[in-house]
Amino acid sequence: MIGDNNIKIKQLMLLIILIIPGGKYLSLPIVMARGIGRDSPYACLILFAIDLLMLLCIVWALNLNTYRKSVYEIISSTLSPIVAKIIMGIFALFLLVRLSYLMVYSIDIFSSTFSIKTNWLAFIIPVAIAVIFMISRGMTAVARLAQILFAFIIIAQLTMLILSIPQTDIGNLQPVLDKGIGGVLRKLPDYTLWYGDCLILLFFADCIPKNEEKYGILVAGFGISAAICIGLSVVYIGLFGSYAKYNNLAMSKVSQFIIQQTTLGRLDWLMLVIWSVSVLIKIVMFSFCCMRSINHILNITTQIGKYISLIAVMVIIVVLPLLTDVKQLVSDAFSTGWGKYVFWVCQYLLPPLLPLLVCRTNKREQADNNIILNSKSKLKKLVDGDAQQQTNMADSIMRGQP
Amino acid sequence: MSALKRIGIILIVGTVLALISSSFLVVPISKRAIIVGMGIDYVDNQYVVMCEVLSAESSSDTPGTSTTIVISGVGETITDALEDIHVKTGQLPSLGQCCVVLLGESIYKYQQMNLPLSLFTHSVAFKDNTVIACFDGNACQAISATTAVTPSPSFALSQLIQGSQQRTSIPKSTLIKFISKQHDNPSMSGYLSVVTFTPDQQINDDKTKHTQGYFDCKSIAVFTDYMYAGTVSGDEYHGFGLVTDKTFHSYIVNDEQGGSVFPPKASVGIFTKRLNKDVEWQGQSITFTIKCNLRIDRTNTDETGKLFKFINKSTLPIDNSVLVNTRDRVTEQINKTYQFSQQLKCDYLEISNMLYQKYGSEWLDYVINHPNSVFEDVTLDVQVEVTR
Repeated sequence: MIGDNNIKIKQLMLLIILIIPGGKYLSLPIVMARGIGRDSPYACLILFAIDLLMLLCIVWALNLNTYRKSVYEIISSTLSPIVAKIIMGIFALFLLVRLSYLMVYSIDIFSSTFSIKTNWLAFIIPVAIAVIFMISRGMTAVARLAQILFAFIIIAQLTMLILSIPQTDIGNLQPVLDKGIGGVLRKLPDYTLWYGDCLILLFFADCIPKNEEKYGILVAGFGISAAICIGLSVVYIGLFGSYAKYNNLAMSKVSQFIIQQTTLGRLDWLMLVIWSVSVLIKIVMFSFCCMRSINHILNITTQIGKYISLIAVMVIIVVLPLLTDVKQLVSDAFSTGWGKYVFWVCQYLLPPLLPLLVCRTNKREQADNNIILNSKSKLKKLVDGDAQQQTNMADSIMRGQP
Repeated sequence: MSALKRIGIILIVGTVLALISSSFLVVPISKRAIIVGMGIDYVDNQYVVMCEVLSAESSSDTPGTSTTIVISGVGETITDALEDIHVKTGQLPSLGQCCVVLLGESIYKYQQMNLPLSLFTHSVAFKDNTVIACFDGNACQAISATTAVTPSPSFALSQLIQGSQQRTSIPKSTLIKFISKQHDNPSMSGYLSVVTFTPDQQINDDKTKHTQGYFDCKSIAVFTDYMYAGTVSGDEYHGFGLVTDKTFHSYIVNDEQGGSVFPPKASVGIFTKRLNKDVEWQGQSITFTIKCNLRIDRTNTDETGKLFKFINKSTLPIDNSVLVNTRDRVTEQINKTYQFSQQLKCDYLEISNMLYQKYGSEWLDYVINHPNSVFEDVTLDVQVEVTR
């Protein structure tokens, strides 16, 4: 049976701090360096600024969501069930693409750090089992786990960032915006796929306890994680300069610089292992959200049905890299290709609309509540009236009157 | 839990374990040649690689500690040579712990350096901040030698080039620094430390026969577009360290007021070095300004190069002549290194890079038509300020 999914806002904040840099730093700085060059940290900054606007809309919507309706219920009741299912379908595809990409890069980091040749199935099946197990314990348990590991992961991440700074050459970031801001802006749409992690908050709209109100800390959490990501991007370009585009995994490359004395062994591997836990948490969160999207699309409500949809998600992720080159597919179809426009519906169209939709849902809910209240009072009156009549009748019978 | 569930769990766990055990490349530590340093030479159209590897056997003198042994391989490429080591010894070469790569004269003087180094730049296990150095002579012989202080030549070299960085004038040169400085950068120049070995005595013990001596590093080899351009040594070398890296050099200068109390020479070290380099480009005129602020003091015992921080000021006076003489010495060294770069036509002071960083594509367009402008049109302005 899938466990409790209630998550406090503070826990959500910690999860945001963990999952945004977790995974984003596997390959994104390299992918962006290939397209944008040394100006990629500025592109990163702009995309995070856009994400911040979307997050503010989401936070506003969550704050308005007093009836704790799920995002599916909100869209379904205000637009239509068909539109809700289409949006859930886009969400499911978005999350599947991100998940596949995460998994493929996770094996790369595992191979480059621990085992030179790693079998995909042997790597992914234990990960998939761990994900299924963690989701089966419920998101409350995952959030508690994130709370416990938070300090360790952040220390590892900041160690890799801060200890690498002395070796960076800030001159590698210059000339600043050599081709003008236009050059960066034109390339931006090709990298939106890697952003929008805050969308997962929507899937917890009905999981936040009703007494929770401090939504502002989610924005603070986002700010911290964005600062870490931008910082890492700057450090990466500072370390590798014009050679930045030729690497494969940014984090494993940056972490090498935490030890200046090469005779001290590989402390970076230890840091990398601890940091990798954040990638696993991200995979769990995305898998859970993907499972919920599929459940909404197929109207799955039973426990066994939820397990089947979760296993289906895992099977897709396991099998897809065996059939095609996921990195190429994601790059051609969803990063630079048409797919990104489809995802923009969820990433950049839905969040600004959401507060409005929540308001409408609230009004409907209020109206429904009023109707129910009126009906109840009428019923009560009727019941009370009937009871009075029956009492009168009983009195007359007792008195022997007809 | 029902019996059926238990059987199911055991089956799943068993399957996963079977997959894992048969699918990972598991190499026992005793079958791995963990390379800590390597020397590479090019002899008779073949690469000769001599690797210092950690031995799984404990040292007989100090049980529980590991020793190093030297193994070699030959091949048409460095990869082939490493494969040769695998074939000959049955041990899989592992590059993840390598802390120094020494390139012999036959390679660094005559080959385009990006080719032999490409194996390391493409390797995911090899650290990008590994020290790469040139060896004046046969690198393989150097890797099989020992020093009196540190028996392992790799660790001795790593200590020499990296560990003593702020106490000496040796600039640090790592793989990624060397490669990235010459890749897509208008200066297209990089440098590597040049190591020499001076033999002291021949050691003949029961197990090995090797030379003991000491390494030193008093020059750098500079490269243009990965090809050797020349060797920078002496004052030019110290000047390069002053304006390029976080190196700190001690100076012995005339102390005119020393007289009877102090010797007529004063030995000074550097507390802090503040460097500000700027370029100005107008038409065909380029001005390269180097502002160097040094805070110096007399060196005490156990001090070289960079002086220890948070030390109370010495009561020993520093006369103005010491400050002036130090300033003149530093200015002379910077001027010399600049002049030598003009002479070599190798922009190892990265003037072109600085111009690109400041003026962007405009400079790139200009430099295509005026490739020698950084050697012909530059006016150097050195402003050294020495304080106590």
